Amino acid sequence: MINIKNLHKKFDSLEVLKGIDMKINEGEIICVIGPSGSGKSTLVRCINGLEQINDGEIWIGDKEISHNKTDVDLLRAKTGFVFQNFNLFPHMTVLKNLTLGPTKVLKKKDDDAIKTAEKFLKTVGLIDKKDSYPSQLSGGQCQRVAIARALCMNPEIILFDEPTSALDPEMVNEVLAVIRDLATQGMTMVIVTHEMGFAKEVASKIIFIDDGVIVEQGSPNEIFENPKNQRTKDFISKII
Amino acid sequence: MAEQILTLDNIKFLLIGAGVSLLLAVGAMIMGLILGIIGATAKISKNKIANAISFVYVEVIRGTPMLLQILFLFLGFPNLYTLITGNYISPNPFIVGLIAMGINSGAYATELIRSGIQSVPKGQWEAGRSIGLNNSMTMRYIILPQAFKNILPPLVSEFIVLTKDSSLVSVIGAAELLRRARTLGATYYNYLIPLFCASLMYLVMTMTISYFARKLERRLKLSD
Repeated sequence: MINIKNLHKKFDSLEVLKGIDMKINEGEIICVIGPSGSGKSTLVRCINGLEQINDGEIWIGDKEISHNKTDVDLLRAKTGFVFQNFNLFPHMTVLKNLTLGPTKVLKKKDDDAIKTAEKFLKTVGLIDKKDSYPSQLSGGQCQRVAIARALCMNPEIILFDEPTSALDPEMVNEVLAVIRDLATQGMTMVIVTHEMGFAKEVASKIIFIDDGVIVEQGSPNEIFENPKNQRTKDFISKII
Repeated sequence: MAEQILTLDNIKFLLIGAGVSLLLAVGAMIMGLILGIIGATAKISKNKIANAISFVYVEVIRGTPMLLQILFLFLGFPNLYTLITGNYISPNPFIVGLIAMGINSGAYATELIRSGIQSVPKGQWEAGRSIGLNNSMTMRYIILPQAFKNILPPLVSEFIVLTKDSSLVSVIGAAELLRRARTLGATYYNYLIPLFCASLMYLVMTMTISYFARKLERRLKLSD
């Protein structure tokens, strides 16, 4: 579904991604782990075109998208993105947050968009908050709304950039539960996360990134129980 | 003396002037906002030429007196027109006054709106883009509404200043409030009462604007 070849990304002179090759197949749940500053977030941001890449190719299906502006908009409509800081639109109600994209980008009728939005608000358990503003919600609720917002665009894949890192500990679980739900429904996802227990549980593949390269990838069992690379071993032993 | 001046007709005469002043201010504000959005977009764009044009516009307009700008458009511009085309024009003072005020307000609005746009966190752009909105949609639905909310108080001040500064257009003969007050003063050889009435009318206008602005601000605060 998504094919990344030799991806390079620099911020000025600092090279953050140094040649990433990865494939994302339909239905796969890929958890990206690694130390801070290793390039995990930059990787998912590149996949969504939030960062311009310096070299390499990103293929979505049979389309190379990284060098064409109109295609990037198209790509973004098809890929959901969930931010660490939610980035809900503060001047709109929860319902408006969810219907904006579908009405303006997918050109859906208002009633249709509202119906879809309400369906996904039920999925994340926040239908009673549809007329609230983001400032009236807790962090965990905001993130669940953000996930619902991504779902409303009917995406083929959702990218999560550390979805629980900005949350108070007691709110982490409610967000993880929603993601777990999506996993059982077969949603394709790439999740950058520090929640190792969660990664181990839901991922079909773990990718360990360090210093801008993929050091090791494999099933959760291979990475967590039986890492081959020394750097992976060090990382895993430090956090578990 | 007061009874002689404060006839129904004269008060009406002044009230029409107040209407003209308000019309000038409202028209200039609308023009200023449109120019301001264009100017601010040009200022933050990556296009160097757009940056430069916007920069020069703001610096020239903010750096010269509004009175001079009004006179320049009313008296100087026709000279230029004659020089180029050989024909003569006699501009309408109201229209010229409105345009001059609009251009002037646009320069201040450019800076205000630019700061407003930049006060919206970068994540809002990214969120807009992430659901597939293009640049101008993100600007329209996500960024500008938040920007305007942030800059509402200084925008209201700008509107109040415009209401008062519409009096400058009196120098080119537009029959707005101050001009009419002076006309009455000259007719009755008494400036005290007409000017006092005019100041009351300016005050009523500006205080009404403040009142509605406070109401609007409170309504926008709902989402905080």
